Amino acid sequence: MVKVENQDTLWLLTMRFLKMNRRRNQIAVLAIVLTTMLFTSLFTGAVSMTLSRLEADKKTYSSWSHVILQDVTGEEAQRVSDILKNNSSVERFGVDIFVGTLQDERILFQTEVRSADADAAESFCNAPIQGRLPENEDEIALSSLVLDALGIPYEKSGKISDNKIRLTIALDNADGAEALVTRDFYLCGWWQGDVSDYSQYAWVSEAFAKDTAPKVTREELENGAMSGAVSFSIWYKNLWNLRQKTEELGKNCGFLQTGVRSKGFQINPAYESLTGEGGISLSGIAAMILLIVLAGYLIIYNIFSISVKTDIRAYGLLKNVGTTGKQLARIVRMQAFCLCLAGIPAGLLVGYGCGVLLSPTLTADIDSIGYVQEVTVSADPLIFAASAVFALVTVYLSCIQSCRIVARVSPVEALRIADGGQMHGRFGHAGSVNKSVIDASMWGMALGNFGRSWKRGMIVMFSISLSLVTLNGIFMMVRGYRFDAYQQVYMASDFALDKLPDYAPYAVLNGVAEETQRLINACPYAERIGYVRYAEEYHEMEPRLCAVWDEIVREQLSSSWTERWEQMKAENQMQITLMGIDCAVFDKLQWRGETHTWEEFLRGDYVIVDYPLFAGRDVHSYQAGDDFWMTYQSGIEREYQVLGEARLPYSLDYPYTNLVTVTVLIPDEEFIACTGSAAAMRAFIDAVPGSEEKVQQYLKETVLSEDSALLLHSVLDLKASFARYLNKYYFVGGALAIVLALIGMMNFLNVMAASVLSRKRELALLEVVGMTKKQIRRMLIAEGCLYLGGAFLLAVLVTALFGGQLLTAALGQAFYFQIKVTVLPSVILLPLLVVTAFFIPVYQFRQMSRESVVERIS
Amino acid sequence: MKILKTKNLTKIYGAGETAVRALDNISFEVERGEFVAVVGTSGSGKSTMLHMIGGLDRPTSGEVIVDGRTLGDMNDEELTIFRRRNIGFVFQQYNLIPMLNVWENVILPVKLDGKKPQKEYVEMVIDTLGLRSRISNWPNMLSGGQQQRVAIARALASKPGILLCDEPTGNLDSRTSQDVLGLLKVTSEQFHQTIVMITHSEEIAQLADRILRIEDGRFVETGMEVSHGKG
Repeated sequence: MVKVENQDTLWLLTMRFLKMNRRRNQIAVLAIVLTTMLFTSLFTGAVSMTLSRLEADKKTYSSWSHVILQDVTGEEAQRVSDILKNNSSVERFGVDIFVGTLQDERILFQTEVRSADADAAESFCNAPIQGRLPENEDEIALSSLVLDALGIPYEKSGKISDNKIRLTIALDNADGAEALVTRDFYLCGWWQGDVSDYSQYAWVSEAFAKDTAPKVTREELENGAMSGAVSFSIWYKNLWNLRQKTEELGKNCGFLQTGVRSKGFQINPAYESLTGEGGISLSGIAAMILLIVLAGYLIIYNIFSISVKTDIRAYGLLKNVGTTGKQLARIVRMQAFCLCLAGIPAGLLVGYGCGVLLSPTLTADIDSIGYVQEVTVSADPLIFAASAVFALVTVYLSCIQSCRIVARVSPVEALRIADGGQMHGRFGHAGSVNKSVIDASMWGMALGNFGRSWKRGMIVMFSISLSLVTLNGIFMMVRGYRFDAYQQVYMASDFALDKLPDYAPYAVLNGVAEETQRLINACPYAERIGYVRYAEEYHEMEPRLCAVWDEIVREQLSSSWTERWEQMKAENQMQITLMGIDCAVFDKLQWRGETHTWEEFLRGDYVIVDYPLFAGRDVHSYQAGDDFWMTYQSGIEREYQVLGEARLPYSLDYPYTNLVTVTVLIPDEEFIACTGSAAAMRAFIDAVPGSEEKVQQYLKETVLSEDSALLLHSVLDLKASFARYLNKYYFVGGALAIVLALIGMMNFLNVMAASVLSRKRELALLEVVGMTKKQIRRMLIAEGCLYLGGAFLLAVLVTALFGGQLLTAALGQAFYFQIKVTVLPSVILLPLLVVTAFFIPVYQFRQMSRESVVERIS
Repeated sequence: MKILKTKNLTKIYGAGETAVRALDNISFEVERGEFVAVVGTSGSGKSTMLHMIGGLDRPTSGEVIVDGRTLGDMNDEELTIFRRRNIGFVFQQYNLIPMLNVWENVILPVKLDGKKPQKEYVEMVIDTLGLRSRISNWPNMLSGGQQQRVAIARALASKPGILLCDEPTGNLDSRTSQDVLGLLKVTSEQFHQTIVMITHSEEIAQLADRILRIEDGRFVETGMEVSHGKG
């Protein structure tokens, strides 16, 4: 067929249709704004959540660059540097040289001394916020924590101290011997140190590093030397094909299979975990997108289908004079497009605002340490592009049916409509309205009217019940979270103090020093104070123990543990997780079999042994009454008897994964006597009920100020963060339910309006034959009640039948989450629904009744 | 030369016992330039016949051939395009597009075809129909007679091979009716336009060159030349 150039004419018709339907346009634009807004806030929220997580992860891994290459020699570094400079996918890279660690009795945490360029300092997230990186050999930049420890004042607004600082650096040389270097430095810059960092840093100049740290060879590096080792922090131009690019880089630099120490180029786990497990939930987002598309579809579909049906005569006449079906469909699509042009930009703006407001709530995660994650809000153009595309697609889908209707409009049908035969369906022609109809009950007539446009009615019901179901779901979800169950597992006490961050290599396993314990013991308002002490010991295996574990490792554990076990077997040494416990901890033990008392435990030379977790109930490392020999690393030998089998609760146990070990519990005094260490892995404090605030204040002011590296886990923080976490759902869910409700109500309003207007003449005829205005109003109210009542029943039905499954599918099954199906929110909203069902039809009828019966009938 | 031919045109509404035979084996031909009137009472099937020959509706059986092309062979899309190029309609209800003004209504079929309206020709039609002063008015601002004149202008604008009029004066008072009919006659002569007009009024039918009578879906007498017709 010849392509015809009639774009102008179609545009003219489109514009005229738009002009003719001002009210429809307003509702449609509002619906598009709401839909776009939902998309934009969803995407803004999701991207901000991801970015905030990324920031947090970068901190955890102490690296902000995409890829790192650690510990290479000076010559290798030169080669790598040349290759990186010529690699087109690399944006920039930083270089640092390890010198040693600070040796100072005032500094109680590890502080690495390195030379670093600006990029490297940025990658470590330790770039000076005041001053600069060192340039001269006698300059140094330090973290605020180191400055605190050294007692050197610093202030952002003040001048950097120009006193000399005498520091001793322990070099880590090839021969294993530690050489000490003591120098005077001038402070040239500082930054805010982060207690959660695994090490603090001291930056020196490259000249100093090259001078002090000897040139290290590959062989020395592999033998454990550190000083002089060069590391790289690399940023790519983008994150596509991270793995492939990194492998290529490794191949080019020849670092694919280097020794154990240097693993070649490593991708920052923060970037790898972005979409993986624990990253953003793609299925959750897909579900939300579907929900929004559905909500948008339900209203926009109805708006268009009503308007097209109202204008069907005009479309029919156009077909009569030669507009083809395709052209008519295009006119409808172009109208939709014009409405999008108005609605989408507004929706993007409002949605972005909502997303920004929502982001802090979205990033809230349960966390007992109590620091609130920093929020990163993104304004990536992709967010807007994606939202706009999704909104367009929703609108496009919504008007497919209307396009089909106009494309198929029969020109003859249009002529009939033109002849005044508007009424069909139950009442037939206007003339057939008779007494029996009037006699029919209001409900019967309302049902009849509903039946005439049942599809439209169903869509309104779906639309409104979507909001009610969402509301029920949110309520069930929030009610389902049980703080008690959660606390029981994650915090066995009100407060806990330790130096055990999430990432095992950064842990200090005896972080609660004796001095700290004295402070803790002096805590007022504490009801109970307990300590768990930890030491790694070894135990010569009895043949029975060896056989038991041989089977466990073979049948239950993955191959990664086999190597470790084989080594233990070869040496016949079982690794013992030795825990010294006091009475308070003892009371929280989870026993298998017979339980015992603290007094019994103290009475003899007893140990309590744990039971292998993933073996059957009849598998024991040791059983009550077994003899147990220990030769401590201190040289002390003891003979014990096994009192019974028990495990520490999860929150008090050794916090990192070790699957091939036997945990042995002994009384704390015995522990101190045999290991010679009184420092504890973890302290826990239960407050006198109601005094949690005071205890927290004491711990913060007295204990933490003494040892700032301690992590304080507080039930108050946990509660607050749990509340924040729940708030996230209240907030997001509430907002979603409100918008969905708004969409549902708009839909109802629109359908009622259409229903009243399309029957303008028919209703007038009813009046002519004697139906009073009151009777008509009652009929219309009955109709409204049918719509909203149907929506209510649908919502109750869906919630009752599928609520549980839907929630479980969306949230998974957490032990602290218990679904109780309830339709309470819908019930609470019922009066509102009734009021709406009353007022909207009455309002519509009043609007229509402004014209006289005669005007309406003609 | 025949411009319109129908062969055994039949239209049945409904099925089984309730089936209504609206058209029953209608066959007739119209010469190019001829003005034919079809007369019948209400419900005789005359409008149905007009819809069939105009391609607005499809017959149950039989054929309609307009300008050598069989309408039944075309799909809806082709039929619509054929209609806007070859057939003009004038209805009792005028059926102007309410959101277009007079000028836009008149040139719509031409524009839809992607063509530029021949301004001189359209203006001449508009002048002939006395619409010059009304071209920017909206349909609802016009009287019935004026609306019908616009409908005639629109039907003529695309120079259709055949003009189909369905009770063109049914909604007009007698004086206006005379005006409109006069214009149709003038048009027929001036533009040598083939016209098929449906009416229930014998008097109006007298204006045509030939009158066909239809009753219960069948022609009762055919080929009656009107005495004052062109020789």
